[in-house]
Amino acid sequence: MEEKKKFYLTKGGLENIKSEYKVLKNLRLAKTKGEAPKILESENLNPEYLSFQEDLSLLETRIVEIENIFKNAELIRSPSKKMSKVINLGATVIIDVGGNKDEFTIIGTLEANPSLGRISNESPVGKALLGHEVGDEVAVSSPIKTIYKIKKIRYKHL
Amino acid sequence: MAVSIQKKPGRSWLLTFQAMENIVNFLAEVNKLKKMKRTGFVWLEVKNPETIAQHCFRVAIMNWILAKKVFPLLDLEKIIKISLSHDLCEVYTGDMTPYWGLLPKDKEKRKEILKDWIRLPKPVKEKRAKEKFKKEKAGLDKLIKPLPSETKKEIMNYWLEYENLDSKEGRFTKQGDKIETLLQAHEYWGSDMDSPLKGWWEEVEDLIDHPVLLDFLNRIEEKFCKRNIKDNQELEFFLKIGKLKQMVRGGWLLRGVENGSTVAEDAFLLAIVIWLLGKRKKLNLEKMLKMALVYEICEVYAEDKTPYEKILPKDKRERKEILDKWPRFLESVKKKRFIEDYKEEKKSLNQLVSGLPENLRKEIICLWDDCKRRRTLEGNFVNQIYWVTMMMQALRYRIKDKSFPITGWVEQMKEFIDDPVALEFLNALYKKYPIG
Repeated sequence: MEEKKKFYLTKGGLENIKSEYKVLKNLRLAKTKGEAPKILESENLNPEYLSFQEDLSLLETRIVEIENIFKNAELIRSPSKKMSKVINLGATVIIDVGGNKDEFTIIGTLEANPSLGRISNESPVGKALLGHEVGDEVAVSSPIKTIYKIKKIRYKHL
Repeated sequence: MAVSIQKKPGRSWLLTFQAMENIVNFLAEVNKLKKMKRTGFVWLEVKNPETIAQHCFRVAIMNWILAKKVFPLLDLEKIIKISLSHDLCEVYTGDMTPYWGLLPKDKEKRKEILKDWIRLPKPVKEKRAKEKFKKEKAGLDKLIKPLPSETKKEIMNYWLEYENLDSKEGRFTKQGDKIETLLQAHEYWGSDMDSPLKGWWEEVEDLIDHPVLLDFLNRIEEKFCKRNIKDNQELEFFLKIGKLKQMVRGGWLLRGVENGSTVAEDAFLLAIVIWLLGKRKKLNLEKMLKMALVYEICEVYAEDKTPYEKILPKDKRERKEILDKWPRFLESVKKKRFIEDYKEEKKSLNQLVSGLPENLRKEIICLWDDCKRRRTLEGNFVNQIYWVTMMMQALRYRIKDKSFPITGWVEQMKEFIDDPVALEFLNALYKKYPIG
């Protein structure tokens, strides 16, 4: 099921994944040539790749995972002038929740981190806000009703 | 004005929902281990002794790190899972120590007996072991009954491997489990060998034979018995991790919860949830289990911060009002707060792991970073399950105390959770613990 899922990415997000893919492919090549320890000891290597030192299958899994992302990736593009009034992927919205202002950018799940103000288009709130305009009030009711009043929509360079 | 539509679940979703409800019911029972004190320490009148959940947390982290020394000879995922599940049966049987049924009521006489490891004739030992096994197996059977058959089988097999010592991982975990208890006993009684410590030493000396664990046992002896100040960084790390057993989470303290759960207890439950739900994702489960164990260890040094830092007024009523809503900030403020928090936690984590071997140190930092920043699919999933597991605890507090502020939690969930499995879990929680 997961393999067919579409991954929405910003240009920057896609670039990051491409860089990781390049490093992993080099690692795999080095491992098969028996050069792994040398490469893995490099100061420049992100510690993220250390777990691959112990388990080649982990490395393979991540490579397959990234290839699946590439296969199903869709770039988030800036909307036309007309569509920029509507909340879509990539929109940064200012909302009012119970008299308090909040701001988030709606983004694909791979780049979402609500603590940083980036919420996923697949989260209940992200999903509910899509397609709405300034002035709309969006209710997300499960299990307590919360009203999100849309105050401002903008699309910034992602 | 437009209103969002809540989709009605289809039939297949409903079938999954039943399975998820069963998992929630199972977890509600497992949650009891957070409140169950370990019998031996209770009998010995230790003040506020550790709970079974606290013990299992450190057993899991200790066994993983020690077993890593001989990787790939031992399966680390299996070691972590056996460590997490070895005491699950105690939800129904309680913590049955080898002294069960043999101790007198008189406190002093009891303490005297507990000073030595129990010695019994072989047939008596065998009879008692059989009886204990039967009770515990029945307890575990009852507990795992609602789980999917594959998971049920897995947990039971792991427990049997641990109990019967019939796999190398089962043997290693059992030995590590006893060493963790010995370590805890030393934390209670220090170096005073005229204390119950003697009994625990006798027990481990009968049991331990794995070279890695024998070496670790020597290090405990060096530190506590010989007072030898050698390079003992690994042991120091486990001792520092031990502080998390008693560290009540800031979020519960802030909301006035009495006897709130501790960092170690919540990490234990998170790891169990990851085990059960992670199976449904095509992701690296071993990595996710490790993430669950290390995600909050930085709190040994960093304060357990909540998003309400710096915005809570002194006035009690105003505080309560603010705590009942999810705090709202502009994106730039969120980023600033996240980066501050991230840097502080990373600094604390670096301090905590500084004495560990480089590979392990980097692995732990990387696991934490993945999860904190939701950098990989595994990190994203564990981060979300972390929040939903916290939500489960919050809902339980709300059931006990209707004044527990819950709206902010619900608002947060609507924005933080997008994973279908995490959302299913959340819905099952709302059904089990209605907010009403």
